[in-house]
Amino acid sequence: MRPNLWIDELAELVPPATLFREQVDLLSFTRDTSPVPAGEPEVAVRPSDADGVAEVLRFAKRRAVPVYVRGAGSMYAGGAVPHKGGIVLDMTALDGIVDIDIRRGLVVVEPAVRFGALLKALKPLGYTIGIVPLTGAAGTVGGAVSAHALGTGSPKFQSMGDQIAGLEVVLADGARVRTGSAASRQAGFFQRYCIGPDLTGLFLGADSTMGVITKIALWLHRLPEHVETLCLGFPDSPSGAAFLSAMQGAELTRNTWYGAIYEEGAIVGRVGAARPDIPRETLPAVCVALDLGGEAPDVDRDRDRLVALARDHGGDRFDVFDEVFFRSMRRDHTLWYSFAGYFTRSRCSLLMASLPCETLPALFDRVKEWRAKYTEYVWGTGIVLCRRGVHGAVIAFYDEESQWDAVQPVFVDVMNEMTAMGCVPYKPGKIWADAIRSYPEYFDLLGRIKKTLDPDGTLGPGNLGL
Amino acid sequence: MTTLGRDTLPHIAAFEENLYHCASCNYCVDAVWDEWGIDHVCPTLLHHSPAHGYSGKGYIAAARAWFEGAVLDPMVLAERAFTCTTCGNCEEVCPIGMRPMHVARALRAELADRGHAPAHALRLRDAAMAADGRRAWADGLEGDAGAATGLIAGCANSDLEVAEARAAFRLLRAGGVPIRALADAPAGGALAALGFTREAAAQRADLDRHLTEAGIAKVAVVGAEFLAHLAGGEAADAPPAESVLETIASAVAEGRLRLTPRSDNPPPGSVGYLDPCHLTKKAHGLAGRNLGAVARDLLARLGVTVVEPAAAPRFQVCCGAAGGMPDAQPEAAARMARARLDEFGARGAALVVTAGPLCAAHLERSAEAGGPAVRGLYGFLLDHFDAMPGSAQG
Repeated sequence: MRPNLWIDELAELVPPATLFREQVDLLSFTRDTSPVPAGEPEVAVRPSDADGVAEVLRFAKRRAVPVYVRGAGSMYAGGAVPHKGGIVLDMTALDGIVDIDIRRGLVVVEPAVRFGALLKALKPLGYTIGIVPLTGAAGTVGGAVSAHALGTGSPKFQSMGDQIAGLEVVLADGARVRTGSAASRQAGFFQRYCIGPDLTGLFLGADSTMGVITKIALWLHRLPEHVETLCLGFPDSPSGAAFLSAMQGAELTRNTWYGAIYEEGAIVGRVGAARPDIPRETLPAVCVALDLGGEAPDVDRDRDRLVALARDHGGDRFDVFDEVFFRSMRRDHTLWYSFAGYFTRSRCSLLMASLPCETLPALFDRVKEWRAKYTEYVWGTGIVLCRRGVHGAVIAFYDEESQWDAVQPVFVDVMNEMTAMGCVPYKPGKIWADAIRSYPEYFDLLGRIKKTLDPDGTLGPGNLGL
Repeated sequence: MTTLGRDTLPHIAAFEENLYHCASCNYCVDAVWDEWGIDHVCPTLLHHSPAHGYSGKGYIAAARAWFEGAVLDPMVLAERAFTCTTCGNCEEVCPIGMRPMHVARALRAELADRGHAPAHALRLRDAAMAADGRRAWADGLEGDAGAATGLIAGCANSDLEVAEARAAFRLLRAGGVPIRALADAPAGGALAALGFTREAAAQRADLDRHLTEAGIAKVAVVGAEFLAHLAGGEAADAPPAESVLETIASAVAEGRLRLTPRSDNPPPGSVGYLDPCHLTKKAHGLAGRNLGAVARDLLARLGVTVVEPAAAPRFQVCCGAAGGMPDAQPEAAARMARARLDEFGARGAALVVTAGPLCAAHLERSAEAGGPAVRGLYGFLLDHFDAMPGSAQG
């Protein structure tokens, strides 16, 4: 245990069982799932309610100690990495489901409720929530809200933030505020856009730089009564991208709960392993894999329209991919459980960006170039369909033990190329800090808001480049 | 990355790849996923302390820091590493196949090698190495003198659940299984779990010698930890080992052993079945034998309905019996047991049975405070059924 006067002082303020200062206990808080270098937290505190959060924030402000908020720590961008030391605010004791309000169509949760626990509670009632990330078994709702989650629900609902009816937030000075209609104690959560500007949005994807979320109101949705999968193959990426734009333009995402776009390497790998009898040259270059859900007649109609639209764009059904991979991944829930297989090979980076559909072919081309240029790493993509555009991850697999130092500048080069071609950082955290600073007007406004809400800069220093 | 420990930390070095592959996803800390039957993960975090130093990823992080030359407080590290039930649920849920429980055991071994094993672990080591009383379980049991199969009780049975081992012997004999009771035959499983690898290896060598001298070619094992150590791939060149559970179940299924309900003590209509972690989780190497299904099938054949717990068998949270937990943290271990009993009680089970003698002994102690009663599976069978040779024996 390290002697430290401010930690001793903090220890006087919080229940002993909620403060962790042994080095062995703090080692788990040094990293998240990103390739952002480890930080060295000096203490971790695990408050059990919003008052406890406020107590820690007031102390941190008074003593000018950095605070890094943490849920499961399974994000891909380093937001939870305490690279300036200080306090890790471990939110995992705030894991309750506060209220399931069927009448209002929303559920209010504490931030560290795990998606798996929330879905388990909602399922018997016939409900679900809009966005569920692939880390859902262990991932927390608060982490997902703070870092722009995506995954199941992205085609139908776009982003995690679009599913938020309002928040309760503790600000850097310990003040507690509710956003949206819940600013009125009499009204409570039911409407996000009211009173004035959308203050909820200040805290979405903010990686706790603006405040610490202590309650989240999420919209409820009926579980779809009928589900099925559909895979469509395209001869090249421009025709696949044109199909995606047309699909979104025709609002054919209404009954699409998940969609992924696979490039040639993934197609050859999956089909080649399961069906070596199929000649490689007959496989499509791009696959759009969709998980449809809704009322059966609606799904029937959408499926037929999607197939027709694919044919209009030079594509067709690609049932083999569905049979050998996609259907089982979705129906057996291996997507969540297997961590999408991303990390099975080795540690990897997921450099996550948003991009318009028409940029996708250029990204695929660039990934091929990186494969040729950086042969010491294995490259892949993870592209998730949204209601508009796509969220795309460029994935680089590396051996952390032997390639750590060498891979860091490669990530920088790749991210620079991605932003230059019009990919926009999606997961915030620290990994895209330089890119965020490269949007000067945006960054200036962000900084001014930060200065107002957290003038001492105690909340998540380094996140979002702040 | 500096890898100072490659030459100096051999037990950790055996899991070097894990240190640099763990994605820090937090599944081993806690997870809930209904479709897979995952309903929380780590008993130590749930019932002892939420400090991540006790978690699977915490063990990996500590091992990596040590491996890279960090100076960690050995007493603090030992307290964390030895406060693990070694149930293996962290390995069961890990989406990418990491082995945090084995890393915890590697930490134990490194610490033990350096004289940092805690007092409770040293007491358990001394008890595991003492032969006193270990013979008692087989007193008066007559087997087949020339049988090539030896029945081994396991440490837990010979020390804690003597009646369970003797019940297993009687069931095997009633089923016409040619067998000899082998007293005083530890394999080193308990010592290996505690990190005393040299002592475990010595016990294992003693067992081999003992079996050779006795002319035993195959062993049938009652103890779950023993079976996992011997048959689960942890012990190289182990003699063939079968579970008594499998032997008894197949004897019933094939008509060699007839179990008829006793009129003076008929079986309950339903019981909770607790899957011992050693027999169930892949970390212990026996998951492929599906022994939980064997037990359930046996009970179903006997007309007993099994009350299932909240989680799927492979993901059940440990009752706190193993890994030295009852000695390391008795209050936390009791809370772990209480949680499991309450879970079964809430689902309507008045009796919980298990094929794990360590689990049975530990749960029995907690059951004294109320809730469902607890019985070892073989004792349960003899309590409620008359065991007779079946017609298939001729």
